[in-house]
Amino acid sequence: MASPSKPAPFSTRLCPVRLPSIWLAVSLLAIASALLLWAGAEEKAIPEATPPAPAEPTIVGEEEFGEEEFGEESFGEEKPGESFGAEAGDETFGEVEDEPEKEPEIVFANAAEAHVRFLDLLESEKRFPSAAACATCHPDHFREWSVSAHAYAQLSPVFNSMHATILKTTAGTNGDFCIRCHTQVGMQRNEPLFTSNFNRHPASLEGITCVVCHRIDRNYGKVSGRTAIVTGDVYQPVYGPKGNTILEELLRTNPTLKDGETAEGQRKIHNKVIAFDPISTSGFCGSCHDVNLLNGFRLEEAFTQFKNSPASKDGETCQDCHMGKVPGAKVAQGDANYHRGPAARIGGELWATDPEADGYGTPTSPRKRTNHMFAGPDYSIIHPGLFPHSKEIRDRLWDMQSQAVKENGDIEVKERASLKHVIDFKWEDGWGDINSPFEKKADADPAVGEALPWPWSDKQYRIDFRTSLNEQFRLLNVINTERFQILRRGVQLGMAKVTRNDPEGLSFEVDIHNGTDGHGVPTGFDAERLAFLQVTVRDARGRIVFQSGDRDPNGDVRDLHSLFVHHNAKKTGKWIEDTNWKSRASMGLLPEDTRWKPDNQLFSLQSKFLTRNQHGGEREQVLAVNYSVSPLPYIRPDTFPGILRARPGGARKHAVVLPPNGKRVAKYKVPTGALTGAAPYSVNLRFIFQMVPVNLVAAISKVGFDYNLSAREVAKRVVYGHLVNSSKRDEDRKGGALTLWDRTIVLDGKTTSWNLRPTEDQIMAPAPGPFPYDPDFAEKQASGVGILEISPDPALEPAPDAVTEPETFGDESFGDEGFGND
Amino acid sequence: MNKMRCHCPFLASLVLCSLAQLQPAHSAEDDLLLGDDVIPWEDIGKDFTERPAPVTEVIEDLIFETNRNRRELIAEQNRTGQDLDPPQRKTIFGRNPFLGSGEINPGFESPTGAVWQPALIIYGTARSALQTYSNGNEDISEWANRLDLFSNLYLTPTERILLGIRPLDSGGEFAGYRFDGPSGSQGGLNGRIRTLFFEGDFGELFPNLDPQDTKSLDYGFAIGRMPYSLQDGIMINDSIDAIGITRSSMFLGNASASRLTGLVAWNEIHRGDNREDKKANLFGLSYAADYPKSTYEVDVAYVDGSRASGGDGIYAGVGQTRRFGKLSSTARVNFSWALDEETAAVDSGILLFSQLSRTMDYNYDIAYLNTFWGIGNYTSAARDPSAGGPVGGVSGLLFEAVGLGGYGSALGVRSNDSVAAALGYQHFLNGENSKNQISGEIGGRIALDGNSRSGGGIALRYQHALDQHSVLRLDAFGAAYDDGETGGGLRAEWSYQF
Repeated sequence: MASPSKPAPFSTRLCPVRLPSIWLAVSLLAIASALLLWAGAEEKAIPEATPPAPAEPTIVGEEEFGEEEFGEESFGEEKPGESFGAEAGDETFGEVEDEPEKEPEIVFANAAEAHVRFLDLLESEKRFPSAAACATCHPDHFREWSVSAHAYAQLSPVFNSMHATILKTTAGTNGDFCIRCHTQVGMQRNEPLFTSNFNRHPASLEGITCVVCHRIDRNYGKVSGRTAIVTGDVYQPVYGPKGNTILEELLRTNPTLKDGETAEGQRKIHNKVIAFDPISTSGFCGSCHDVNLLNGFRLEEAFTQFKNSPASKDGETCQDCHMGKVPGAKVAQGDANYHRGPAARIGGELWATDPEADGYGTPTSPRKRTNHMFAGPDYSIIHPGLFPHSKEIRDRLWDMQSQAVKENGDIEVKERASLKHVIDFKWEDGWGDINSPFEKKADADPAVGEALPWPWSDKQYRIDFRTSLNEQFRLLNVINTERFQILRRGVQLGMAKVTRNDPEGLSFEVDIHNGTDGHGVPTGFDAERLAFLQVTVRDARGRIVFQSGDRDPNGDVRDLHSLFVHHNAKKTGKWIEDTNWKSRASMGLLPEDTRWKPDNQLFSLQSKFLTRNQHGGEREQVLAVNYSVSPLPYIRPDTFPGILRARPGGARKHAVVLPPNGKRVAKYKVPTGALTGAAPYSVNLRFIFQMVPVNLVAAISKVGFDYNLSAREVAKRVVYGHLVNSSKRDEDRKGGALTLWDRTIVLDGKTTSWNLRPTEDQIMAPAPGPFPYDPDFAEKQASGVGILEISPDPALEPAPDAVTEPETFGDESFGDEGFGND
Repeated sequence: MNKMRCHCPFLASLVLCSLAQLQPAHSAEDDLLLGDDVIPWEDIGKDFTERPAPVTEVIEDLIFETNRNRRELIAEQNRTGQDLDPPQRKTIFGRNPFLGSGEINPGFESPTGAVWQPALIIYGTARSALQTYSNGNEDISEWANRLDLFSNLYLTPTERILLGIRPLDSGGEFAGYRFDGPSGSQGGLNGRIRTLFFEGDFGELFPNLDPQDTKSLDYGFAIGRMPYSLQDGIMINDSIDAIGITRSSMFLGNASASRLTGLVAWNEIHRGDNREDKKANLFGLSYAADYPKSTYEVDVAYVDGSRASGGDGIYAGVGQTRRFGKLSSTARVNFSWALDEETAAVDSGILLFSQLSRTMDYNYDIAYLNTFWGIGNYTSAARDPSAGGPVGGVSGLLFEAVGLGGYGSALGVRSNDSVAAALGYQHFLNGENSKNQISGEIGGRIALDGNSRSGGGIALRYQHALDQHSVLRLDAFGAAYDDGETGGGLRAEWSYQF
């Protein structure tokens, strides 16, 4: 009903509608200033410590780079009573105060030199210590972290090019939004928004490195990664869940292990551990894993999904499932859910497990030990010498030097090897494996080796480096198993049912389950996670009569983003030959037999970006940059209350993920014209998880890929993995997309349903390692006997005739799709 | 050959491009396979676009020499790869640069436990246009200007206060110059607050209430004068004094994502005739959910209006967005019921609305067909004076108002008892992410009663990004109406984003 009289509107009481805006603007400014002053007044806790002098740095005097040029965040030494972080902000409000005199600063001529002088850098870094420095006392944590997705975050060439493409298409306005999380250290160091990783500081390459979590002193909340790292060298306090008790005990019971204040030459031990409870909460993860762009775009919702999940209500945390004993699952209450062991092994070696052995180091008291491997859907597509992060590799490179004799007879170092040289090392061709055909050929003809680029023209360098790579392979294989386990936990097949099986038609359906209760699957960057069911129906003669989830020549599934589908391209070559048998059998060809048609029955859990057209509704785009409404997409804060809409006006995400504990049914109907009558038919079901689709690689390729990678090579590694031997066939690559489940059922007319739900053993089954790790490799290198054979994966052969029993697990490789099956 | 087809004049391209679908240019896989070209790592990121700083940072850079040196050092670092460690920025608006590289202000902890990192930025868009317009009934030739100016105080990335003004236009009058009729300079200068709201997340504001993240306190809310829209602006498109509470990323009904929002507005409510009803209150409920095939939006609203404007009204809308093969579609059904009197402010009617579009095979151009059918006189629950009618923002070039000066719609912005269609094509001159684009549209509307006007027309739009901030836009249309009149419009607009 109409209300004839009402009290004065609230807003007119709050502020007159016609109030000149200048007054409100001034008021707002005053509020802002007050808040800013408050912020400036609050400084951080000041840890007491004086780091030792840096070791043999290049010295740059203050007269060269004076105070105006270098603020507190430079390598300058902290003074007692000051905040050791640049955040203290003496000059926050423009006060140009005299800064205290500083120690001479270490300045590397450029980032490349910093890479070369990695070891120096570890000694001298005063703001953002490298994980390699932490590794001295925390080898287990370092080993796990070094091969984690956190450690890969900034190294990823796909990430870097995607970030750069968005930056380019938004006139630079997207700024550091993406890269802020991927290299917190790099951004805090004012590094360029886009450049080769070879130009970045070594600590910047470490992505979500130790200090990104353990030098956070406050509970920021959902800030999309905009957190401040407390700066300070390795001697300064760290923040952890347990506080200082164990460290105090260690130093008390081991008087020779002094803290950093004591004297030079002692172990580098942080002088204190400050208890920081939020680090054990889900909210701590949510500070990065809930990505909300400042224009209102909700890119990733992992944490918010978790808050709406049964797991949250049950009191579970992200850490319970992602840092516990079992990847993706909470298996016990409290600390029993976690491994138990020392938080630190002072001076311990990377793989040491025997407390009695020499290499174990001095352990701290056993306690809850979280797993820092953080297995997830991403896998490395870069050279195994670049990832996992390895101090040993850096040491190797440091030792590689080209020398020259000066006029006075002194020997000078002309060049040292650095990370940029790694990308030239063709381990897959047998370089450095003394028993490989390549090295035997190089032995027979020295010109073969000498023709290689420096430093790999030196045989000893090749051998040393290849030997170090073996440990890299070991780590990469370990993470591969954890990745399989956590993804198998997330997506599971359920009941399969035949709904029609007669000469006129064939239909069936498969349940797909989210096996977790903590978030959707996939989660996080779900608009670029390709999780799909690949279905192949064969007749009794093994001929393919139906496919869904098959790939185009680039490796894309046939969705709207496939370049071949988008262009309605003709099938050629082996793809057209696949259907030649139909002509011989006097069968008609379906439209999809001759052209790349959309896969209308594709079951995919990939969410999609939708952009609003200038007119004509919304459309799917690979990247959520809307260039239809305006030719100048421009990122500025939302002018709407974006939190009420959960999406900005110009672009959004259409979520397709499986809800926690949820289920969807994938339904298939084989066209009648495709049936051959040669029953029984068999159905092969493969659930595949790929970190990004190839169409994303295509969409971001114009800015180029780091490490001298081409778009085609990036795509092949994403889909099929690395070349692991001298074979250049895609089928022989290893380590690409993951086939989580591979089951074949035979539609014999008797059985109409199958329970494909996996057992716990099947979920936890180890996965085949993509890389040729050999535990005896070092000895073989030394002795010169034996050669590691890498055979083509049998799973890449054409699928065998139908079997009645479900198979256990398929390999991660891709065989018949797109390569001609018959 | 294909490119030639797509660069031909609009009408021809519309036809030829349709034919091209039947004979796609790319038939060889070599054209579509990803390439083997390599950009050497030394060249990665060279001469890359620099982030345009907001006004507030520009001011700080003008004041502080350190900041200028810093920018130069960063630029030098970008060029040479040298590690120069630029000094810290000096600031008066807050430490955190807006999406810029550099150190983050750790902020301070509020009494509730929330960490606030305040930073203020000013941004907006300036628009200026020379335009002439006639719809047969009125003629306008003018120079018109508009400035949307915002001041955004971030407390955290999720909590903020936004202040917005439009100092160059008021009540439909825009600062500028009128060349015909009552010629002369026009006013419009004002200091009226168009936007002033706080938005935030309850759980983030009071983190100490749920330190273990088990209570699901993530309720987003906004309060103040805020622009708000429902059903793509058909049902609500207004700037209102309101409070809204929302919860998102839910899995209601096995949805992949769902959102539920409640809204209460008490002031600045403009009714369906775009006029303010000072005594009206609005109550709304909005639900959106993503399922594998479709997105659904279900919205209802009740306006408790004054008798002077016609009284109360109930409004409801249902929308579905999905793709069929290569077709993208949005369909909406909106209802309005006048509970007291049927007036221009609140009336009864149904609006059936659809948008179909297709991204072309041979490039990333868009062909679209928008249609609507108005049964009775559908009115929106709330419409801003500058928002036109319910179909103005979504139906096509021929139906939209440009939101600047007196340049109106070619075929009208309301749906009253009529059917209409617009067939259009948007061509991106340099492919995906193009900085040049041209759109053309042909369409018409047929009045189903004697109160509306039928007509047909053709419209063109060209947009070109001139640099990192500016866009040049040219619009033209020609129309003929069933009363024998003809209409036409021509305009050139320059806009500057900052």
